[in-house]
Amino acid sequence: MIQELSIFRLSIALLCTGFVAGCAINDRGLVRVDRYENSFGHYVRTRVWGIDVVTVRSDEGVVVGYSDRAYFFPKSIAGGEVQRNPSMAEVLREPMPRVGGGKCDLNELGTPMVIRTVDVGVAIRLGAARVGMTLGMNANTRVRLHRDGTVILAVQFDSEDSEATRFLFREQEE
Amino acid sequence: MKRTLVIVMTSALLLGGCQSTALLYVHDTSVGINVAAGTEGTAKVSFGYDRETLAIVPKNKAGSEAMSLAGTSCVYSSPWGSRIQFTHIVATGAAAKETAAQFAKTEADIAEFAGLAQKGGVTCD
Repeated sequence: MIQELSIFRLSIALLCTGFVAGCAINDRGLVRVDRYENSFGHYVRTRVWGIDVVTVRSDEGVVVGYSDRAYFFPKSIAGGEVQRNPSMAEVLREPMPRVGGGKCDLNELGTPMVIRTVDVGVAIRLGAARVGMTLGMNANTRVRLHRDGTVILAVQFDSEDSEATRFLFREQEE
Repeated sequence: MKRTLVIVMTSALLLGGCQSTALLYVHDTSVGINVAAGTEGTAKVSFGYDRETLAIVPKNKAGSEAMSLAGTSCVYSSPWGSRIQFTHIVATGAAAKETAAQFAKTEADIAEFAGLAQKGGVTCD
């Protein structure tokens, strides 16, 4: 009985924390959103205190507490070919300037190729590639490339220095 | 409670046994109680502090060999995972073969390729 009461009170406390701090669905609601873009792709970072209902493809879930998420979406360039004999030294020189912090539908950008998440509190993950839950803190970085095709991917990320972000992606179907 | 935990762990193991069809790199740090399952990565139940880094390189279409891949990574993470810096450079398919041909002639070439991930400010000594 005492245990049930404690769990009930904890749930109420967490929910109240969420409502006080704000509730976000993707990047909609009380949430900080930073968007960056270059010719190869989009980088979107969301930070939420409270309840974050995430519906981004392959990162679906719910976080109650603090949620910090960074997504890199490649741009699909029709007819784009991978540069043959690429100068690998050049790949990290393409800057990725900030283009705003407004709202956008993240699923319109496709499936993120690189995902970086920090969850603090209670997190339930429901994505097809990642299922589970955390009570405490979880920091996860995930890079996913499809097996087929010819691809060059270069990504640089610093969670405390957004200007250092770089992203390059080229793809050609074989 | 015990039955629920057994079901979760069994499901995690079953899901974790599926073969990935994608190249995957994962760096994961958790503090507290963490239950993870999925078709990609490792299935686990952890209490306390846990950190793992893994990469999955699937077989090619024919299924006989691993897919062509040339890559270099540099990752820095604070002990609790609050700050992370990473650089990944990955080439697959024909681009991987060309990259290998370009950089795999001598040990100095390989070292140069590995050093590319450190040019962005992240240092991995």
